[in-house]
Parts: sequence; C-alpha cells; structure tokens
Amino acid sequence: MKTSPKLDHAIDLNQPKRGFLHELNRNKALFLMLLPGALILFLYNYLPMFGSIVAFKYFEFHGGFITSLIKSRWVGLENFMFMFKTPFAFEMIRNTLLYNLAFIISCTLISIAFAIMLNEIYSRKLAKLYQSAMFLPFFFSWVVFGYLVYAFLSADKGFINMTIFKALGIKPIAWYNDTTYWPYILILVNAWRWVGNNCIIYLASIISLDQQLYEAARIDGASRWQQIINITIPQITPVIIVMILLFVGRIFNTDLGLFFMIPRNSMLLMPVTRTMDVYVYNALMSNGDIGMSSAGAFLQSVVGLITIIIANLAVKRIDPEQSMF
Amino acid sequence: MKNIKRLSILMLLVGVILLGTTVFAAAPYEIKWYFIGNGQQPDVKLVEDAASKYIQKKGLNATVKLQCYSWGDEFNNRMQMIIASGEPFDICFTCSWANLYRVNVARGAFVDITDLWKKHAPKSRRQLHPAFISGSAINGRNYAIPANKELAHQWGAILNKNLVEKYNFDVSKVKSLADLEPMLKVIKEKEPGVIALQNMGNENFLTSLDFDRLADDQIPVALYNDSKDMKAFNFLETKEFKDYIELARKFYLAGYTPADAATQTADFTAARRAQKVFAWPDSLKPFVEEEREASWGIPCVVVPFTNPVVHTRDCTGAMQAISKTSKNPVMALKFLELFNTDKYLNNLINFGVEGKHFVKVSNNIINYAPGVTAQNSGYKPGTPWMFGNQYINYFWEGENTKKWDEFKKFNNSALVAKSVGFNFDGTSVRTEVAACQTVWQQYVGPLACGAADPSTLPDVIAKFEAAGINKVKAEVQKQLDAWLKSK
Repeated sequence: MKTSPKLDHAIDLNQPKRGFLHELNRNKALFLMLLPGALILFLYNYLPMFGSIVAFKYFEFHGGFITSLIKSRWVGLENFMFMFKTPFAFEMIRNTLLYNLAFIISCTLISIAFAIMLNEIYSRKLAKLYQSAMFLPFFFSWVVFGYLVYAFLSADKGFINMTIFKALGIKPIAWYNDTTYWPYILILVNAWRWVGNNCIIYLASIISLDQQLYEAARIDGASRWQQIINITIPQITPVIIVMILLFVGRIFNTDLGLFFMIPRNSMLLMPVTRTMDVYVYNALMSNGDIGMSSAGAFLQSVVGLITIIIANLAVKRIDPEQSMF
Repeated sequence: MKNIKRLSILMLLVGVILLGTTVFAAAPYEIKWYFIGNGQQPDVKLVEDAASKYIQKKGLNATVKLQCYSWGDEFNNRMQMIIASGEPFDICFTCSWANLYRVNVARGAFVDITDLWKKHAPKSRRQLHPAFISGSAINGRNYAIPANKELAHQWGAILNKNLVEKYNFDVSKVKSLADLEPMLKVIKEKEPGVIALQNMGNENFLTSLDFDRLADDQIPVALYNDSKDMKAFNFLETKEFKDYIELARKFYLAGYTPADAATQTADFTAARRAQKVFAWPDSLKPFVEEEREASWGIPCVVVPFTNPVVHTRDCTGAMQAISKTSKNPVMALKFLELFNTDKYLNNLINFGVEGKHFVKVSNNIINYAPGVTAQNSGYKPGTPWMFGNQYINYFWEGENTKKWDEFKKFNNSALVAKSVGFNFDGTSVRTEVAACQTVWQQYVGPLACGAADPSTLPDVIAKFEAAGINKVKAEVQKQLDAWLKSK
C-alpha cells in the first residue's frame, strides 16, 4: 500500500546525471501542468520588469510605448522625489504598514479559527456548504464590494442610515465623510473577501494531518480543545509561516481595489485610506506622469524584497526547517 | 524546369504582396476621434457611416470613428490611459479643464501643427480670432485647433426654470451666491428629493471667484484679473476664498448641498436632466440657457455672478489635438479643416442624421424629428459648443438666431486679462506640482462644497507649503516675468 507511484519520479542517486532534457521527457505531464502558470508568471511578472527603467526617465511620447521608453531622457532619482516631498509621506507609510499588519493578524487568526471549526463539523455536507459560501466573495471584484458597501453606507440612501438607524432612532452618519470608522470597515471588508480563500488552505493542511496523532491523544484522554491546541496548531505551523511570509513580502503594497473602491476615493477619508498605492494612483490620474508612478511601484517592490529577505532570515534563525529559502 | 517552377512561385508571391499592399494602401484610413460629451450615443454608427461617405465624396480617402466619453471623470481617466499606453488614435478633445492641454504638450503627446495647420487647414485658421491662436500657443508653437466659439468666459448659476416659476422667485436681484439663500431655503423645505444647490466637491461655485489661474489645474497660483503689479499669489490665502468657503459651509450645514457632495464623482447632469436639481454652477455665455435646454430638455434660467473676462484658459477652453500616435496626421488635419468649415459635416456630427434625429424647419433652423425628443434621441452628444465652429451650427427651433451677433458683443465687452498668452511650463517643478495636486484633491474640493470646516484652512495652506507650493509660485513668477519682458 505504501509503494506509491511517486517513487518512479524520485531521483535515483545511482543513475548518472542526465540533464534537463531527459528530466523534461520523463516528467512531460508535470511540466505541461507547470506551463500555463509559468507562462503567466513570465508575462505578467517578469516581462514588465523591463519597463521599470521608466522610473528613472522623464517619459515623453515618441510614437509607441517602447520607442518612447527608449527615447526618453534619463533623470536619475528625480521621479522618486514626489514620494518624499509630500506632506503625506509619513501618513501613507504608516497607513500601508499598519493596515498590512492588521490584515496579517486578522486574516490569519480568523481563517485558522474557521478552518478548525469547519473541520470539527460532523456533517460533511454542511461543512462543504459553509466553505463554499465563505469562498464565494473571493471571486467578486472590488468594484462589486465597493457597491455592496455603498448600499450599506450611503449617507442618504444606505441600508444602515435609512433602515437600521431610522428604526432605532439613531442619527444618520455621513459614513464617507468621517474617518473614525474606516480602519474597522476596511479590516472587516478585507477579511470578508480573503478569509474564505485562506481558510481553504488551512483546512486542506488540517485534513491531511496524520489521524493517528488524534487517535493517540484521544486514548490518553485529551479533550477536543486540547487536541486543537497541542496537535492541530503545532502541526500546521509551517503552513502558517509560509502564508505570513508571502504576505510580509507585500507589506509595502496594498490592494488598490480595496483602498480605492471601498472608500470610493473619498478625499475626506484620505487620512486613513491613503496608502502608497492610493497616493501613486491619484498623483498619476491628475497629471498622468508614468515615470513618477513607476518610481512609486519600483520603490515598493525593492522595499518588499528587502522585508521578505529579512523575515526569512528571522524565521531561519528561529527554526531553520520552516524557512522558505 | 525546376528553375521555372521556382521562378513562377516567386513571381506569384511578389504579385500577391504587390496586390496586397496596393489594396492595403487604397483602403480608406480610419480617423479615430476621442471626445467628451453625453457619452457614446446609441446611433453613433449611423453618423459615422454618413460622415465617412461624405468625406470620401469630398476627396478624403478615410472613414470616421467617433468615441464619446461622458462628463465627470470618465473622459479624463480614459484619455490618461489611452495616451500613456501609446494607443494609436488621431484626434482627441483637449482643453484647460479635462485631458489637460499643457500637460500633454509638455509630455509630447500631441503633434506640433504650427506649420501643418497653415498648409493643410488654412481656412479653419483664418476664421479664428487671433487671440485663440496666440493664446493657445506654447512657446510660440501650436499643438491643437481651438473651436471657433465665444472667447470670454463668465461664471454663475443656472436654475431650473420650472421651479423658479412655481415659487415665483425674483432672480433679477441675484448678483452673487449669497443672494440665492432665500430661494434655497424654500426649495429645501417644499421640494423634498430636489437638490437645492448642486455645489459639489469637483464642480462648484469656487469658479465664481474667477481668479486668473496661471499654473496647472489643481494648483492655486493665480493673479487678479485686473492685476497691476502682476505678482502671483496663492489664492487660498485671500479673503475672497475664506468668505466663499464659509458661505459654502453654511449652505452645506443647512442641507442645501447634498450630504455626499465631497465624495460624489458621477455625472452630475443626470440629476439636472431629471429635474432633481434647483441650482448648479455653470459656465455662462449669451443664450447658454437655450443651449442647455436643447441638450437636456429642461427649461433654464441664468444668473451671472461675474463679468465676462478672457484668460489664457479661454483660448484653450475647447480644442482638438492630433495625437503623436496618429498614423496619418495630415489626413486628420484635412478632416478637421473640413469639419470646421463644412456646414453639413459639422452639423451631422453635432446633431445627427437629418430626418432620423432632426428635421429642418427652415434653411438654418432645425427641430427634433417626429417622435424624437431630447430624452429619447439616439444621437445627442451635447457637443456643439466645443466642436469646430459654432458659427456654422444650425439653430434649434425657438433658439435666438441673433446668437452669433450676441457672441461677438459678448467677446468685445470682456475684460482681457494681461496674462493672456502666458502658458506655464511645469516640467522643472513637476514633483512639487504632483505633490500639491494630491493636497488639492484631498482638501480643496471638500472646502469648496462645504463638507469640510473652514477652520481647517490654515492647516491646508500649511500642507500646500510642505508640498512645495511656494517653489511652484516662484517658478510661475519667474516665467511670467520673462514672458512679460519678451512681449
């Protein structure tokens, strides 16, 4: 039973090295499965890197994009200055970092909690139903979320002001003018969209855990709660760490959809919604300087790379087996 | 034998290629035109076909493709993307308030037409007031053809006439925004569901202060219209601005202005057309009420708040530029020449197909075709005022046919600001300009519509200073002084 077909593909140390082509031939099917993902990665993540040089140029139009890119003059770091010369520099860095921290914590905790709860549900049918219901929002775009939230929060037509508050006799709130509530709203909406997705990843790893551990624990008289604390969570720690590492790499990036669509780019909310991406977007939309906006994205990527290397080093020191590279 | 076979195949190939290129060369060139208006019209294909047929008859081997994006942010956002991505197109609408002319010229998005214009579109150049040509030139070079229309501008409010008559308002005494107050009060009390004052975050009565704005949009560097010393200042620091935002705040708190004024960015004209707005800010000129009425189908009353003035911005208030990505700029220019001077073509693109969208009442006067109204017409881009040449447009029935004489009077009565012809080049301070614009976006709209408390003004000014407004102001002054000296 244990002689799984996997062994066919295991590296046989006795065999002489055969090179990449041989490997390719042997694992045709696997490489074919890799192809679409790799292609997309190349097209969307590697090819545009060439365009990053626009961050160091004063972009002028000379026909098509590529020709313009080549012919525009170099300006050194001038494009980066608009990220620092603004009175919002501190504000946007603070917002970016704090929101991402809040997202990491809230999403991880809620997702794990739901994954464990789904795993504990006896009826598999119900568990599947809940899981699908939670997963559904992940497929909606932020535009849809923007309108859903607007339907709730609109000052003079929204469900909360016009139905709930009216029934309770509470004074309506101009939601899109008041910064007080937005940190919570954004964290909530972010969790709404992401929890279902993250939950499935955790659930998959919980389901694949060795059931013998639980049997042994039950024989020793461990309660459900003790099983969760002492078996489930320690066992899925590697997955949690990988998920957090993936997130940390993007700690200077925020989802423009979330911060732009949900608050409807309300200028009054900017003190709590302006992240680096929102700032770059607004600066680009008013004067269309793609050199400066690329500089913003470039800066975020470089800082993101540094943070992910540092985070990985930290993990390596604590527990070398859990690090990614 | 083999050689002959090869040769014949080669010959065949050459033949196919030759044929292909000649067919390709002979195929009509598609002129793609982006502009702002009431959005893409359902019957645009009919108009395109008619226009293509007509210009081919006039000797241009081309077809016309029209794309209209709506008022509000749509046109501007789309054009930013289209231009930044290098998409090939021929003509686009550009001006001082959307798809910004100066910014696009500085980045080289438009073809320098100074010489081409004289050669390929001489008639459309001759018919313009010289101020249009010199005022829209940047460092002596022209990059767009201004529409031949009113030269001066005037700011004020337009009111819904049905509501004015219903409550018997006397509008003759209204000289400023503050004078509207008693009427707003009545509307607020008696007309639930109607917006009393559509004073919005990005379309508001700040215009009625009518400063001579010198730099980019969203940069508060200005002169007074009758400036003696020609010293630029930050208009947020003036008493006029402070008084205005206090009034706007008062109206906002009283509930005359919509609660979401600062955040609403959709097309405001929809509510006006639905008769759900009493008063809104607008750019005025003789008989503007008739034009609005024809376009929106609602009766209007005009209340001017300022006197007619000419700024550089007015010379660049509505223009068509040729994109650097155009494959055939000369063809595009020849088309514009025809459009600007040919009565049939101009009215076709402005008003649609005769018999389908409108019928002629007399030689120069039109009305809707039977069964067609302003609301259900399949072609109503709402563009006549900014397209080509107003002086050859048909009149709608009921419109005053003395209009163009009044326009000339209007232009002649206007005060011409001393800065006309000065075009600021912001390239050297572009990081400061970008930083200041983000400050403007966040603070000025909410202040101007009253959603933000005027007591925050000193803080806003401090934010502008942190973003480098004083450096921009100094650069404006430097260029202005140099320009004055060269004049």
